[in-house]
This record gives sequence, structure tokens and C-alpha cells, in this order.
Amino acid sequence: MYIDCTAVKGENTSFSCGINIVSDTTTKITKLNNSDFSPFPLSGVDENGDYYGYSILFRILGAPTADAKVLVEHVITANTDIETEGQITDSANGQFTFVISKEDTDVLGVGKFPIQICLVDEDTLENVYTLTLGGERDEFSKVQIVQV
Amino acid sequence: MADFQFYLNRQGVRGAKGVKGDKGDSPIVSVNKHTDNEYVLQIDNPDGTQIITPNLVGQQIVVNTAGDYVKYDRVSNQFVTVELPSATGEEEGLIRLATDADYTERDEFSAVTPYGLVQHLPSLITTSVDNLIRVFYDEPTDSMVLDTSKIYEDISGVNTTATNALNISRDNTNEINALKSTAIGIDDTTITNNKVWSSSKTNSEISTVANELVQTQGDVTALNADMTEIKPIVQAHTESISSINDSISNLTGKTNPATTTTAGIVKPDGETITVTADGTITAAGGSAPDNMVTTDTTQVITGRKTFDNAVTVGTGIKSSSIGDGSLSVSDGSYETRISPESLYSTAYQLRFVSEPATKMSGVFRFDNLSRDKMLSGMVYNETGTDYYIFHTGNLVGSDNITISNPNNNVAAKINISQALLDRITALEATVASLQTQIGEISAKLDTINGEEI
Repeated sequence: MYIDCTAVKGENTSFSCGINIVSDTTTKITKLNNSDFSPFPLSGVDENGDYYGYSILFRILGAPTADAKVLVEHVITANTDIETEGQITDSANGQFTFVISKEDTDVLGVGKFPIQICLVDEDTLENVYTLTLGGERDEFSKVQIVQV
Repeated sequence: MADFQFYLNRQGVRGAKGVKGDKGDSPIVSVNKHTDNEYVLQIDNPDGTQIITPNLVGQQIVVNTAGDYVKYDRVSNQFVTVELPSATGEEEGLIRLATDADYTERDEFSAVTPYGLVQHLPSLITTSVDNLIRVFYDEPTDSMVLDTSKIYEDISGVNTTATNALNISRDNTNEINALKSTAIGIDDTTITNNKVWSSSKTNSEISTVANELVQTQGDVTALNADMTEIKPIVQAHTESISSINDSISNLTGKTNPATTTTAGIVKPDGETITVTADGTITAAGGSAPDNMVTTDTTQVITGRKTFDNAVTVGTGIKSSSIGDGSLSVSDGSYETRISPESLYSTAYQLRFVSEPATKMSGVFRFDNLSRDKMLSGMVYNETGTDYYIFHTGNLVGSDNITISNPNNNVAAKINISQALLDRITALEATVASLQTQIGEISAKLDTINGEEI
């Protein structure tokens, strides 16, 4: 998924996201369409009966590289401030929001900045899945801070 | 509706064809030979080694009309089907397991199994006509048994000089009637029925020995029984002997001559002490002094006898006329007897005399030890009808005399001297007179008192 969002400098801008996953990974693995996906729960009990839970790691990087400097970082959980940081709004259906806050825009200034959104373990914050994978042709999810 | 949707595990776009890769390390196979009958491959390995395969064209098998077994015929260089020949002594071949019929028919080409052997061995062994030796399968023990119980031999013609031979003879009932052992050490030449020769006794018949043994055994049995009876008797005798020995031991000390300090045997001298044939000894000679006190109860001692020390009288010196155990002293006219409770005398007076060396002393003392030196006595009057009891208190330094009559029905009497009685009478008269005068005086005083002055 490629994200290209715009935020206004000096304002809190919130974006909503949903995570889906293939329902059946055995009979159909090619030519998938949206109907083959179902919401991905961000917490629950796995097939072994163990509890799992994810948090969302939102970052704004200085460059679209793996070792780029992190300019802004928010760890989003079900309890974080939905206005200034973002929040997991519907954990069972993989729904969450991320926010580029006013303070973030002040740090960034005007311009385009690559963003990175990852699924992390809620306890260890260990990266489980990077939702915004970098592409071959310099595709990278980015935010554009504009001055209205 | 979310602004952005993420789809996990979605298949991406098919990529472009990649560049052809380098050649890998695999063996190179080439045909080495290819004919109608041969097809051989050559394999060159990456390490430089090479393998030539065998002819991959399979040998054809020539199927004959007979036989189902495949044999390689070296002559024709072919595989052919044949019938397997049976094994012989010269040729290897087919052998099959023996069947029951094979055992019966003594087949030469079948194999005997241990199980078959057990089952058929008895039939394979020919027994003697009289069935002396039998081989049979004993089912309970699951084993083959060689039965020789019926073996017998007429030993009459047996070589009796052979060593280490056991010859057995049986009678017509198949019972053993003779055994002969020619074991080393035996020297016998004849065998007769009902006799058994033993190697333990040269030239002796075991039957005889056996009879002796039986007899001996019987004797032993009988002896054992006798011993059982004798044993307690012997034990008793043993104990008696032991007791006798003890007695003898005790007598040992009595056989030595007696001495003044040691008891022992004595020998009469025949003069002062004589002994009769039966061992009775008698003191000879000697006479007792005159008037010696003897044990003769009728002895009369005349004369005076002086006893320097105390004389102990057991039951008292008795007078023949009294016989009560009292000590009787008599001068022929009067007698005084002392008994444990009384002092009796026929004399007109009984005088107690104390004649000490110093005439200033001399006391007659009558002690009643239970009443602290009180004089107690009882006196009967002449007729014997009244008695008077008196006792005195402490007479030392006191003149108290107490007179009492135990019956209290008779006025106490004091037998005092007549002079004293007369004096008492006179005093009584005087007292009476005085009493009269006092009365008269009293009356006059009363009269005087009654008059007015």
C-alpha cells in the first residue's frame, strides 16, 4: 500500500487505516481480489491459544532509506490520544488512525517526507510487519506538509 | 470507510524473466555404445571421473517348455528356464522336506526336520523281536525315550572274565534274577540263579551278603529297640553310680584313723574297751565313786552334797510325796516348800532372817514390781471364810496403810494388838462423854441466849 497524504502545517491532521488479510491461503493464492480479504484483528488469541496484541508504529523519516533519521514517531495503541497521536479504534477489525499533529508539522516544516507504518508487538515493540514497504521505483509512503 | 487500506499477503506483480544462470555442476551423460544388443552409456562427472554403464539391453530369457526356474547357461550365454534337479550325492540340487510317506519309504531326497525326527524316529528304529529295546516318543516330557527296561541276557554263557561288565539275567517273568559285575577286583567264575555277586566282597554272593545285611539290619533294628529300652535303665544306673561315688567320696574322709582333732575310725584296745564279733564295743573295768550322782531315778543320795556353783533344776526338785515341782526342804519334822507361787511351811513360824554383816542394815523387802514396792497380801482367817486383802503404799518414809475388802460387804477389819484395841475403846468412850457434855453446854447456852438481860 502506498500512502500519499497531505497535512496542513500548524494543524492536527488524522488519517484512518484498515488492515486486511487473506482469508484462505491454501486454495487461492493468485489473482486475489478484495473479497478474498478479511479484516485483520490487532489483538486476540492465536491458533495455539496464546494471546497476541499489536500496536502501530508511525514514523516520519528524513529520507526513504532504512537508516534514515526518524523525525517524528508515534506509538499508537487503543489508549493513545486520538487527537494528537492516533488510536486503534477497532482492534477486532484492524481499524486505526494516525495523526500528524501540529507539533509534528512544526518540527517538519513544509515539504515532502517519507512515512513508515509498522505493526509491532504491543509489549516488546518488536517490528512484526511493515505495512508501508518501500518500492523499487522509489515508491515510499509519504506525507506532504503544506502551508495553506 | 478508512482513508487507506492495507492488504497483507497479497501476491505482487509477476516479475520479469531473469538472466540465464551459470551452468551447474552435473554429470554429462553420453552414449558409449549403441547396437542391437548393446546399449552402454558413458557418464563424465564434474570431478573428472568417468563411469561406463553395463549393457542396459536386458538379457532375454529363453523359456523352455519345461521348468519354471531361470538358469544362466554359460554355454549359450543365455538365461533359460529349467527344471531344478534333485540333489544327489554327486550333484547339488533340490531338496524338499520329508513327508510322512518319505519317512515310511525311506526317501533319499527329502530332508529330515527335528520335528519330523521326533515324530518318526520310533518307526525308523527296528527293535528286537522280543522288544527289549524300545524307542518311543514320550508326550508328557516331549522327548524321545530309549527304553531298555526289558534288556536281559542269559548270563550263563557270558564271558565272566571280562572286566567292567554288568551282566543281567531275568527269569521268565522278566524279573532280574541275577546280576554279575566283572568290575576290577572281582574274581568269580560261576553264576547261579537267585544269586548276586558283589564287587565289595570277593567271591561272595550279594544275596548272601544281602541276607546278612537284612539280618544285620534286623539286628540293628532290634538292637535299636533294645537300646531304647536300656537307655533309661543305664541312665538310672549311671545316676546311682554317681550317687554311690559321692557316698564313697564322703566315706573317704571317714576311713582315716581318728585323732583328737580329726574324726575317723577307731580300734578298741581290747582291754579298756572290748569288741564283740558283731562289732559291739564295751567299756571294761572301772567303778563309779560312792554316792556319785547318777541318772538312776531311784538313787538315794546320802550325805552332804556341796554345789560350788549354780544348780539348775529343770522341772524342780520333787518330793515323792508331793510331786508338784516344788523345792522341798525338810528336817524330818517340819517341811517348807517353795513353789513358783507359794511358800508353804509346816513349821509354827516362818522366819525370814536377814543377817548382814553390819547389824545396822538388814531389810526384808517385799517387792511387787508392778506396783512400785507395795506390800500386798491376802490373809485368810482361821475358818477360811473371810479374807483380807491389804496393800501398802510407799512404805519408805510413809506410814500409810490401806486396808480394803474387795467384796465391800464386810466392814474392814484391822487386826491390831489387843492393847491397842483397848486403848481405842477407851478413847471412844471419852469422846462419847465429851459429846454429851458439849450437848449439855450447848443447851444451857441456848437457854441463856434466850433470856433477856
